[in-house]
Amino acid sequence: MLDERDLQDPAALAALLQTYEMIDLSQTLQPGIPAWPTHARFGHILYEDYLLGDVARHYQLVMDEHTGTHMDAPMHFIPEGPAHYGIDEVPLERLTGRAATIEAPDLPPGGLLSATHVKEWEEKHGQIQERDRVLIRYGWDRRWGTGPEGTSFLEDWPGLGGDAAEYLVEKGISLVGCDTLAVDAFGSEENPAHYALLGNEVYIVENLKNLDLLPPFCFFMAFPLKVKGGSGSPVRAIALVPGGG
Amino acid sequence: MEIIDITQTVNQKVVKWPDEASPPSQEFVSHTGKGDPATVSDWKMSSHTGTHMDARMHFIPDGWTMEKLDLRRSVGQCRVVDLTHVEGHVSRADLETAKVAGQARLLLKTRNSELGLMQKEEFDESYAAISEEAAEYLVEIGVETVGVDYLSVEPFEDGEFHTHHTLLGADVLILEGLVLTDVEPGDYLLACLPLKLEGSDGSPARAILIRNF
Repeated sequence: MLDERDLQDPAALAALLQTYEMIDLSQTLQPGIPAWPTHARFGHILYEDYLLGDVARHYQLVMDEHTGTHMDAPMHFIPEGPAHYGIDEVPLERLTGRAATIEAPDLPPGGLLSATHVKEWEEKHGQIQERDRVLIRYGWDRRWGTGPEGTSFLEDWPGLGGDAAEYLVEKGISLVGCDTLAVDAFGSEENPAHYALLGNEVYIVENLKNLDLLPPFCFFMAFPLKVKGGSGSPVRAIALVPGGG
Repeated sequence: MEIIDITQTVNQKVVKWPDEASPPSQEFVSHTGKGDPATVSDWKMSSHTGTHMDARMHFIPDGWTMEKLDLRRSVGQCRVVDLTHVEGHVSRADLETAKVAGQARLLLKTRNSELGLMQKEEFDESYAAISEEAAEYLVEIGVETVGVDYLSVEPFEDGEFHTHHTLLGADVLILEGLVLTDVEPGDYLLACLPLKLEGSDGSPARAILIRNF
């Protein structure tokens, strides 16, 4: 599998990527998508329109930093210290490269993914290494929808256990992604995964989709908007996997 | 792997088109500094804020909207062309001299980058843009994606927006507001990832280059 550690030659990378299939891991941003109750709902407002005599059509966007598929900056949860920084300061090298996808579709509602589960996955598929990204597929994106169809997405989602988060931090990974609203399980008040990951500058991507299309390892890419001091940002997340045209 | 960020940082003072209604805004929903468990803001911003992409529908009724973009058009090999010597707007002859034919993705580095125009809060109407005949040439040679280093591909004087109509009419993808100040002309891997916005005429984007090869 393509690994950024091997990519000393971007020409080879460009040529290789041409032969890879590109999989979009991002939810479409549209009115009525699932959101935290306290956050702005996604929407857009018409600024100008050629049908109204203007030269172009142009919208204003309204959203929250944590709308749709998005990334958390450390300052989202970390109030002070070296990890208290915003989304514009997240180092881009950490956000692209090899990613492991761990399957966990059988956890009960509100269940926690354990460090043991991660180690068992490694025994089967290979070691997660320093700098790797780790994506967790709970299969929760099947509950995504607009309006009432998305209600169940906002209830009972599973999450990353504190022991698993600590284990991944010790491994020196760069990022954790999941297909749920938050990396910590529904109702978590302690938010152990958020604190362990963000406190150690391991970035988080939430509300991913299509993780079922990924092999155990893929080439991942997700870059946030460069908004000064943002606690997060919607992102376009993609994966490149061998075998496309 | 070395990544060069070619994105303008956005805050409330980021340069915007002179007649644009309002600057981007950031409103705190919660803040760790006030005892909340997490810091969160809501945003309002134009779909053309800072470094961004135009969807075809921006000027062409029934043109494609952001969620339908083929990401291959903005992720792949690209060439950064040195046009910093050009006075006025980029002409057909400038592009011919630069030998850009055969490139699918082109980023035009002009004096705008040398002057740091994207970083200046005040809008500067003397920016370098793509003349209509240069836009026609880009279409002729089959360029699929073109990027510029100020807010618009359009010369400020052109009230008819010929450059946009020529490029978007031929379905050339437009990237605007790139920051190429620290980028040496040459070949790179480009990744410009916009948000997957349903029905939108454009999207702010994060744009990066992977180093020269």
